[in-house]
Amino acid sequence: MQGIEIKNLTYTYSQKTPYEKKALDNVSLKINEGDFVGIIGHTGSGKSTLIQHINGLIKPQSGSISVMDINLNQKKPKPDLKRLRTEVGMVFQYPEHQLFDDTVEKDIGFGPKNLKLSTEEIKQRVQDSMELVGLDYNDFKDRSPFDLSGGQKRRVAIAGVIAMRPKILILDEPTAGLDPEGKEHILTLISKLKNDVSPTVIVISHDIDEITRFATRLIVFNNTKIAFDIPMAELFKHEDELVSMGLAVPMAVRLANSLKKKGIALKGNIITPQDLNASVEAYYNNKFNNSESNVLIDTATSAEVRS
Amino acid sequence: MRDIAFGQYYPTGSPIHRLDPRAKLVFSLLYMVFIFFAKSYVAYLAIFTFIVGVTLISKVPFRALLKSVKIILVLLIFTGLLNLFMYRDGNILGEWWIFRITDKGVDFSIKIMLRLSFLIVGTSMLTFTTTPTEMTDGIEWLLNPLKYIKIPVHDIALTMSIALRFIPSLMEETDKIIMAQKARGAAFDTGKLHERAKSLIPILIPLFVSALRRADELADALDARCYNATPHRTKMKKLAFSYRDAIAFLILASLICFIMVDAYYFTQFVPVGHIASGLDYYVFSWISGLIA
Repeated sequence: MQGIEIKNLTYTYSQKTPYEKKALDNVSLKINEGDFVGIIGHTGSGKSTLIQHINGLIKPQSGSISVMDINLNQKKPKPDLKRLRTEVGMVFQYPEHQLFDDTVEKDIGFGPKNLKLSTEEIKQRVQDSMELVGLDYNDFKDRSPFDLSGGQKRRVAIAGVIAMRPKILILDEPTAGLDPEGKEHILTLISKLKNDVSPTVIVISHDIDEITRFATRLIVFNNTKIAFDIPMAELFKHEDELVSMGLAVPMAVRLANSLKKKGIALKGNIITPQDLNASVEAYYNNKFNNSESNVLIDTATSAEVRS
Repeated sequence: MRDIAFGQYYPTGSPIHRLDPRAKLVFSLLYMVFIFFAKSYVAYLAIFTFIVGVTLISKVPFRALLKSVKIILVLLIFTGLLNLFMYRDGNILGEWWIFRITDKGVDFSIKIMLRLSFLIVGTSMLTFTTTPTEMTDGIEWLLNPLKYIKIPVHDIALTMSIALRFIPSLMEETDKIIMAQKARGAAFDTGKLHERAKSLIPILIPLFVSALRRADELADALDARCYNATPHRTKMKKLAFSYRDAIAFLILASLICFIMVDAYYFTQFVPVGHIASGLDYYVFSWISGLIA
């Protein structure tokens, strides 16, 4: 299968010591090629452990996992981790902490070089990756990665991962610690990468508003288990569950649901501010059903969204 | 990486854990010194009983202690073999080229291996049952007299506790960096020696960068809270000796007495030239008597 298949995966850190800690409890999951998955959950809910399994960085203790037809449970012959890691690109939290080389070009070329590609091919890939993340090749190639700004460093680090041309791209908290502008850059970049490089993208985030902007499927982790796994469009049905887990609910969902309680039932699946905008407009148009009030409605809509 | 057990605090809340860290430090020092006075196997048996007793009370599993012995296993075997083959004195049991095995050599190499194992088990017992903070508090107190010759004891203790505090953090960081570079196809365990050495660069540089960054941040945080602005710092948790420490001391003191009496009193009665020492001679005679 051209995706990820996980069955009954359980993982415990520091087994048989007083520091023993369960990280994953009987998790089953199937991610198909082309999925755009957002994963949310509290710190320690098992998200990071799960994605480390997908890249073969931790061996499964119990349960089975297979990625792009590579069976990670196999003992003999050992699973082809080299191929796995070219198929699955992994951007860790604060990826700029892993930069090490003296120039941006060499650092981005580290992955392709490990693949033993030709010098021209490496150069080509570095150039393409830099272009994708929006760093000018000639401007940046000879600069030290340590002299760049936080947002630029992160883009260099991401370029280093996509230079491997992975089919599956996993990002762990890709916007953590960036300013709003840097965040915006990364979010746009992720959507672009999904179209141009990696057909399957998995993003872990704390910020649900951020995830609703692009992911089409949402997996919520709670306490080492998958709480629910839904198409993003059904998110509005799960407000109470999210609240009971202490997780944030997207602003638009919150607003639409509280309007509903007040007797104003908006139509459609409202997840993003754009959905909300459209629904409110439709609601007003429907209610007053005359074109004169359109101006008034527009101001009312944007006022609602802003609040 | 995560599973390195050597020296890691092992919380069980046992009476041993609750001993005063200063007392524990002094006891460990005494223990380490007096192990080297032990002469006979009877004395070694006494030490063994002592350490097993301490382990049982501390509730630290024997598995953890064995792990720490395993770390010095190579050193242990090397020292044992070296003594076995190189010891010159005594009745020759076998000889080949420059190697010579004598009865005293066998005796000596067994004892040295026991001594080293007891040493490592004793010191790991200290680190298993004492948190790094307690340890530095204890060391600071013990070094206190040095204040009078203008040695900044408190600063040294703080530096030490910071260093200890950062070991697990840096280990975790190393883990993360290794994972990230592995994810980019780096291989650390294949290739020629110089290739392997070179493959460490992508780990070491980020590690140093992050260590320096943390140090910088910590220094700023200390400054921001006016650390060292007041000459006399007080402690939130004051150390206090209790009856437990007295009991522990009595037990250790009896062990030490036993070792010393065995080594210096009973050894007198061993005939000159006899291989046994201390109480071993009596055990030896008794067994020979039984056989005869």
